[in-house]
Amino acid sequence: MRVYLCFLQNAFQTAIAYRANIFFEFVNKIMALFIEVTIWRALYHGVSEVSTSVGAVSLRDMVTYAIISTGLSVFIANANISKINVKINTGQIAIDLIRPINFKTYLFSEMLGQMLYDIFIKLIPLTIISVFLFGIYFPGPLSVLFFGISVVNAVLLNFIITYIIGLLAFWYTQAWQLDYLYQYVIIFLSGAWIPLWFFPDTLRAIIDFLPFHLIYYVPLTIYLHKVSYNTCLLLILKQLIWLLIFVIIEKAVWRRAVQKVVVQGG
Amino acid sequence: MAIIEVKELSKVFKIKKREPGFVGALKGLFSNVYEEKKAVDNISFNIDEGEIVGYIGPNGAGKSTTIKILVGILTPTFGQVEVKGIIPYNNRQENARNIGVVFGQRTQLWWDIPVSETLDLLRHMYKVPLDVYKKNLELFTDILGIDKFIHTPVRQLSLGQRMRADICAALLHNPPIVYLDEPTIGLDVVVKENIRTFIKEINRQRKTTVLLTTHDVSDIEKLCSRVMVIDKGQIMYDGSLELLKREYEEDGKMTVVLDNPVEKTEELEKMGIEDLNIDGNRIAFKYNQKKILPIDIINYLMTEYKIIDFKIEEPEIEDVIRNIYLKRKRMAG
Amino acid sequence: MNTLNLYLRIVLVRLQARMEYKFNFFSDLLVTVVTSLVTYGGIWVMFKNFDTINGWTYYEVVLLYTLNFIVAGIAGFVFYAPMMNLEEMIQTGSFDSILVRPINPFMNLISTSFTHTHLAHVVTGTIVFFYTLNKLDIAWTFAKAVFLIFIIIGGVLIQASMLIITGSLGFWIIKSTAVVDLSVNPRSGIRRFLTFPISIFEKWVQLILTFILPYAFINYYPSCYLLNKSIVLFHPALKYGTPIVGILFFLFAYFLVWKNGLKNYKSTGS
Repeated sequence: MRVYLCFLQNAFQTAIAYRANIFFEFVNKIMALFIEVTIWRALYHGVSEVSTSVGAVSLRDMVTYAIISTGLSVFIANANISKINVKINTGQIAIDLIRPINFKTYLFSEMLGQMLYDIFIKLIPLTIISVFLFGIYFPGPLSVLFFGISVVNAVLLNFIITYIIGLLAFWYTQAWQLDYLYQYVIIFLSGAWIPLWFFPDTLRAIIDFLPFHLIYYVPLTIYLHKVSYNTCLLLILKQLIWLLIFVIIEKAVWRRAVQKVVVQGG
Repeated sequence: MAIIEVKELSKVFKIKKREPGFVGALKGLFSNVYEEKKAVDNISFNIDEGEIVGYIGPNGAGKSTTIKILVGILTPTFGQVEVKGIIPYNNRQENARNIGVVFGQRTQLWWDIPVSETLDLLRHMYKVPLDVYKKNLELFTDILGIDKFIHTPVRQLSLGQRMRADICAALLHNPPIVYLDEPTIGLDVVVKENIRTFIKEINRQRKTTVLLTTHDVSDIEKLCSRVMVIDKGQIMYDGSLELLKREYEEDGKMTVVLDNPVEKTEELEKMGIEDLNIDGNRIAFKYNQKKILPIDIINYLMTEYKIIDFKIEEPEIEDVIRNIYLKRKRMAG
Repeated sequence: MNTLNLYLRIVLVRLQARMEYKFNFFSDLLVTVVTSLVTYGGIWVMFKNFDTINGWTYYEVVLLYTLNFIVAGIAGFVFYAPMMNLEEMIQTGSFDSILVRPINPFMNLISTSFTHTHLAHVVTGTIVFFYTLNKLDIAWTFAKAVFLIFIIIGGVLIQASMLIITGSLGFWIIKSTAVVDLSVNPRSGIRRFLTFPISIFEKWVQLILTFILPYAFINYYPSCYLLNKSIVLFHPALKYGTPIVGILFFLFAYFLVWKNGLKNYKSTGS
């Protein structure tokens, strides 16, 4: 347990060590948020609200959506895919496998360390600035609770999905493409950028079928209370089911991956 | 007139102070304190055409910094440098045509293309005439055996092959001056021999001037007539290798395991062995290289015993340098 | 001319080495197509719910974005890999190998770092570009067609300059790759401002994107010109500014930023 705490600390310290990095990452997020909000404002010019399947969506809704989405993106995103890819390419993976630590937990600890850093350095200032600049909608306490749960699930889901994709690097040498693809796909299919309410029906059906919308859309929709409390519970349940599915997939993939390293030498 | 002239050269670096630990890291976010490091401190030397000069010193002594300035990729803080009449850091491209460089720690070849492609590109870059190019390739094949891996991509080469390829690349355009920065590091004995033979041959044929930095004493012994010792940015010694050995000699150490315990020690002591340490069948001792060679000791031992195993530790550069210090201190104090 | 031959030769050798992996090119193409679908898809979904943004219709916005896309592709094709590699080369000291050679280090870096990955980007962009132009009602004249070429060249120079400037930061600070990415990444970088007409932003943003980081000259002003939009900021002559801005900015990037970065590298080592 100690060991993993060390990894966490290390990741945190390493993140702090790069001064310029902090500044630019933060500016990046603020800039992105600013652009999103401006775009929605421009789109809504002359329009008071848009009617969708979940009811009327106002500008205020979309601004809040953009802010919370950006906030979530600060710490939901992780570097699993590229990390694993690098480890495999450099052969570092062999050393990692020799060590008496669980590879997954090790990456998880590092992710937590990075997340802590992101929350302190980026999320908190971001929240403060957003509340001042844009004005935000605060939901009721029950919504906050459900929101919190769904966010934790989202973080776990994203971790395990990126972990599995990262493991694919054992077989597919161009794993950077997978990283790239995932980053983009996530933005579109997860509802991080545009809420699913705006999507035409057929596309919406496909997206609902895939698990990605559980990472951004579900927490966001819970926050904005666009669905009933019952539906919130159902959505959280959906997250947990998919989480379970991915854990099972991960175990199978990991076994095969280790086999490959042992047999072929990576 | 010397081909390389270095006058009162100094290079000072400003390094940001970094404190360890978590608090230190946070402090580092806000502070801006620098400390000065004198990598090269007022050194001067001249090298004539055709010399093979060894440039030795402990890590961080200033060897690489000096080489970088000579190559023209680093500008000095004080002093003057002229290489074949050109100031390297002012006329980088012109100077570059006259030199070949091998950095032992990393390759100058392009990573994912075959060696032959790199050499072909270099041929065009340095405008090497085709007949010269072909002749050089023959030479590279003869002594370094480059034909065996010339079509292999660089990333697939072993360290020994890569080093040989780097040396060929550096010498392809017949530069009058060659800088070799640890060219034999990590290589096995056979490859090292090949490389040394090659350098000697090039020097003989073309009067190529060679400046060689190394930690390997054998490199120095086999190639260099002249040695410059640098430590903490200052030149401690600049002269012939012979003189260096005689003045600052450190004893070699040897350990031998025999089939029977040693009884008679007078012979050994007469031969000039010191610090004799007997542990059953195993004996360990120091020997003075001026008085006796390891081979003589072995020969003697073989007449009395059977040798099961033996180990020779040659004096390290660091030991020689330490001796220089001690002597200097003694002379000063 | 001799030196140009050399650079082309180096690029060709590297391209050859890469073509050995045939699968790569097509998988790269696939990735580019899919990822660009994301932005186009997003724009498409948005316009299913809204009619215009600041007076710009769907295809006009697509043109705006595509112009940006294709320019970034061409600039990235030449400059992205070298500028991204630069930081590592400086940190590990392998940049010294560039300086040891008797050729211009800038051209050395550009040619020896060449990779094909943005090629798919350029191809896709061109296809979408012509498709979009087709869908729009542009009154084509000979002058317009010629100027279009200059717009592309100018735009490429501007984006290239940003890549060079941000890459050169590696000479002074560490982790310049993050900044390089900022300059050219369509999702998380400055290019994000350009997806929609910059007229949606407040004046000060437009000022910055016009006079300090002249990204707006890549797609906004040229689009106003092509679409005969009278909604233009400051002076209407800005519509024609792209080629000049491109050249000037590039000269700035190369002579004032890159060269100074080199000087700094040579005095501080690695």
